[in-house]
Amino acid sequence: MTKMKNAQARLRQSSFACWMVVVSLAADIGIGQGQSQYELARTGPVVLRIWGQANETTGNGTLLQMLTRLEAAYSGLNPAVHFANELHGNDSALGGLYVGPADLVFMTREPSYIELDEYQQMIQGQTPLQIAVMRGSPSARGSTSPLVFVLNRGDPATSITLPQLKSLARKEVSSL
Amino acid sequence: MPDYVPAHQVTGVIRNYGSALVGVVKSWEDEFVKFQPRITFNDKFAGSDAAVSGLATKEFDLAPNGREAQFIEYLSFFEAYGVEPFEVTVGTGAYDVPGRTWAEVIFVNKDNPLTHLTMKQLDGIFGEARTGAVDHFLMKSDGARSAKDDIRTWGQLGLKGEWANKPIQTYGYAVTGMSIFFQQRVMHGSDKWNPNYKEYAETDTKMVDPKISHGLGSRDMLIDISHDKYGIGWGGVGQAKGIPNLKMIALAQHEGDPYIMPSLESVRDRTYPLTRSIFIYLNHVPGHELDPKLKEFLFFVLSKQGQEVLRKQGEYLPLTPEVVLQQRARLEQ
Repeated sequence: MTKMKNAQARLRQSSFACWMVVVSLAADIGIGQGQSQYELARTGPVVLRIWGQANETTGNGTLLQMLTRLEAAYSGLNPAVHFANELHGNDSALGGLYVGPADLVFMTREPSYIELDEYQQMIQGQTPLQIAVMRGSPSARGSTSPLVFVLNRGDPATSITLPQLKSLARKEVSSL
Repeated sequence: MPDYVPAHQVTGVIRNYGSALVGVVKSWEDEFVKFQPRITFNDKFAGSDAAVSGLATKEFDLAPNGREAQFIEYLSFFEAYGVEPFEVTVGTGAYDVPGRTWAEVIFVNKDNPLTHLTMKQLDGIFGEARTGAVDHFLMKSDGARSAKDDIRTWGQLGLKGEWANKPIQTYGYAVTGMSIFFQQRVMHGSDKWNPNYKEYAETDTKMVDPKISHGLGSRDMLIDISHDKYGIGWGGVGQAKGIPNLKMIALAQHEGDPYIMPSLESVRDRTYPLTRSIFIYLNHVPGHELDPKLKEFLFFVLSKQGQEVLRKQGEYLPLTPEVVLQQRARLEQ
């Protein structure tokens, strides 16, 4: 437990704090909704196949470091668990889950409508279990940064409400 | 239409993932093994929406698909292979059969004097000013158009008298394979629609729940157009059956081209501009050798025997000989 708390502390202290989504099968490894303490749910040799976004070539090396740390911390607590990463990116991630070669998917964005539809076509009537595991970075490029509104510097506006934003973007909506 | 003549006797397993195309893929396989008895198939038919992902996981060889690949699917494939999926057109969509890649038809109220439109005018009616448009997953500036190309009143289409100043009310489908096709074919890939666009989803599918989708089915849309003198929308002939007061509009690809009415013949010969296609996607880069067993299977599909399967199925339509030869040539590159 101490090791897990240390890992959590390292996560909090990291300069990179990305908001991510882990999809499906998380329950198998002892992560549950609203659960903050780690509990081992499996014994014996296990390979967890992780697909998703943490690929150095996508310019997200910090995320790869983060994933590697998480895996090492978990393996430290449970040496029987090994990881096989196929980290091509967000857009191929969820396919790994519903086609079959992935157990967990690591994404830095929410699944899109078409991805959820694909998932439901393959796994009848199911939606993927989605768990937020980190926040996006406030400033690091390509790291799920919050959306920021930018004006010309000559514009005197300093703040805007969400309803005002909605009005700015409003079109006639027939089917929300 | 060329006969299928095996160039090689091939061996192995072909792994198909995607749409069954209502039994067409299985029929192609059954006919193909009569020529190539050492080929077996491992199929998983989850539907068109999952097709390209099967390729992106590298677990499958071919992805039969009842619609064009979409933005996120192109991206997923690109992540896996660093190239776009190779698209082979293998059949023509139906004229009027719901659920069978039907041709998209422009409807107006029967009182409307309009008879024909160009594709550019359709973009003016249904689209909006844009700084560019996404082609597959690449943002391109040549898809841009300005607000001066907006067509918002019937007078801009040449209608006179009481029609001239009346606003055009647009109708169509919300996000689906059909609307993606419309965007690609009419709006250069843009998803910026006319702000007054009223959106609906296909009746009798999982997208329409009678308990919460009140008035939002495609039948509702066509009924709404039939009641809206100043409305225009796109939908399917099959869905419009039995709804009075609708009129179909002829389309021309470009100004000066002949205006083509949607009909079984104009869809069959693919002269109607919003005729759709069915596809098989695969990982292939032109100029590189294609796996011989995949090439043999695709050449079978693109043959007299393969297209006969579509004729017998009776909903999808066979390709024209010209398109068959064109697709074969692409596979030979």
